[in-house]
Amino acid sequence: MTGKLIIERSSPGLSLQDGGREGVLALGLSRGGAMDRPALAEAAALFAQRATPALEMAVAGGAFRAVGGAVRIALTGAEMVADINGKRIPWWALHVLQDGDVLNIGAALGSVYGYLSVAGGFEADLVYGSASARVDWGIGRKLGDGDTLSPVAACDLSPRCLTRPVDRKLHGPVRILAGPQTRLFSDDSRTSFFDASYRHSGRGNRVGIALGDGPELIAPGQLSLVSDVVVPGDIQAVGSGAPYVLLADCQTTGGYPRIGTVISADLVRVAQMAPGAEIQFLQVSREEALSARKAIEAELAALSDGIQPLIRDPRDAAELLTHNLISGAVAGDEGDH
Amino acid sequence: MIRGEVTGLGEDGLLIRFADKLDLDANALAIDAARVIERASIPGVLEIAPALVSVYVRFDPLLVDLATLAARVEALLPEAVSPGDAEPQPVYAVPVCFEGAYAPQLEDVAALVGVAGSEAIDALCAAPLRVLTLGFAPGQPYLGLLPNAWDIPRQAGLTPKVSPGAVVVAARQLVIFAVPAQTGWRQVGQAAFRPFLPQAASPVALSPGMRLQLVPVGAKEFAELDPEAPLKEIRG
Repeated sequence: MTGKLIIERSSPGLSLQDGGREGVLALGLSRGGAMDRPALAEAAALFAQRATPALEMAVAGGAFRAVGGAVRIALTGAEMVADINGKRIPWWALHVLQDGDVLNIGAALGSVYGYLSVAGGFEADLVYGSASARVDWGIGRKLGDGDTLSPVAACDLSPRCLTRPVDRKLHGPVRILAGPQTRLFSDDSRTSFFDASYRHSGRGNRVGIALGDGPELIAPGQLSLVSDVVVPGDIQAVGSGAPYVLLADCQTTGGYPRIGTVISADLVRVAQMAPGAEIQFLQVSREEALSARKAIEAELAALSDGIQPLIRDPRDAAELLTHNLISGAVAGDEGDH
Repeated sequence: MIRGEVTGLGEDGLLIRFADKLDLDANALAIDAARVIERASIPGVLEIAPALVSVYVRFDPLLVDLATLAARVEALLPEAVSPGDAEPQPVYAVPVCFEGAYAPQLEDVAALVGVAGSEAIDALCAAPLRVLTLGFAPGQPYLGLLPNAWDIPRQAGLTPKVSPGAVVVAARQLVIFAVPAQTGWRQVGQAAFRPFLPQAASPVALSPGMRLQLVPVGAKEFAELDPEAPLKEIRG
């Protein structure tokens, strides 16, 4: 029988997220969804399923007890310190929680958003086709101690790991495309923005991140713009002069001038920035943006090629050596479960 | 005919802008251009969203390239028309209470407009207003345009929280809040209407181009109204 997870101890930033709701911008609804979409693809590869609603955990997770049976879980996105009943387990892997086992998920190591996934995704009410929560809008529920999370599907997969998780490109400049309002900024203003190095100011959430420690970003006459559609990745010049990068839960329209838009391939990296992390920007061509987009799609499509059985305990090494030889012989149907 | 300016927005978006200033004709054109582009069912187009004086088109850039799509959209734009409000359309009544705690900044706004509080209410309720766009929050309508005297700035600070149904004004526009939020606009009333009901079969009540007219109600009557009830048509 498939068990459920009870949240025994919750961190503040827990919410169910999937790929978000598409096609509803005209209604004033942002797409929302996971801050780190490739993390959903990583979980999907581990479970050999399509991307499903996962538990997004900002900065830290909490304690989760399996009740009513075993639960298979996958841990993806930003690496966090995790253990089962006190025994450390690797990230980017699928693990088995037996009935009564407690999964502890502690602090993120360097990045922000980690994901806990189960077979078939977590049960959730859909609004405009998506389980993605936006609690301040009355969409989805706030998760806290004592809440239950139920997997949609049963599963009997054995522990496994991703040998090549998505490369979240934590080094080098973040690439942006010029947009409809880039020309509102003076040459000097653009030059100083691209020459500068900024840091995550500490003010950030699912809506966006304010940058600090760099030159002010100001466009002349910026308060008189008629608002139009804004998208995740847009970098706004707000009144304070601190550049503000919009992310998954950003509003649908805005009137602040935008110097450009972070390319989709680099957006995960911005979303995963921790307070204090450094960032530089580089304007690139459309061709480069599209080739980076294709490269990410290819990388996600190849995730399942890098799945290997998980060796959980070195004490079992001798036995696992034999086991591995056997599983190696049947590796061909790895993706058929 | 106002010509639309077409540019890329991000690697998967295209923006068609009809004006630099808010204008009822450009707004009507944006709403109709969205309809025309939608009807063309262009392969690779994923969604279309009209804003105040622009239209955003999201597409799959690996299926259709920006230049091809921009050319296709530009060719469609002459089909978009700006009917204004001449075309007979239903008008829906929105009951609004302009009294006491429901209208904390009515007197400030009246002073900025240069009229008495009662005259400000009369002006807000005088004529139907167009849903110019939905945005910022789910289903949240921007209504307009109010007379020129209502071109008032936002307040310097922010009101920390208004509740759903709050009626706020700035820059010849009126917004009925859909969700609890902070705002730089001034609250002049409270509507017995919820633009967004997440649990409803159709959570968003309005669409761009619809016409609404505010109807003043006293605090006692307001308390008895169901804010989740659908809007009623005003019969002419």
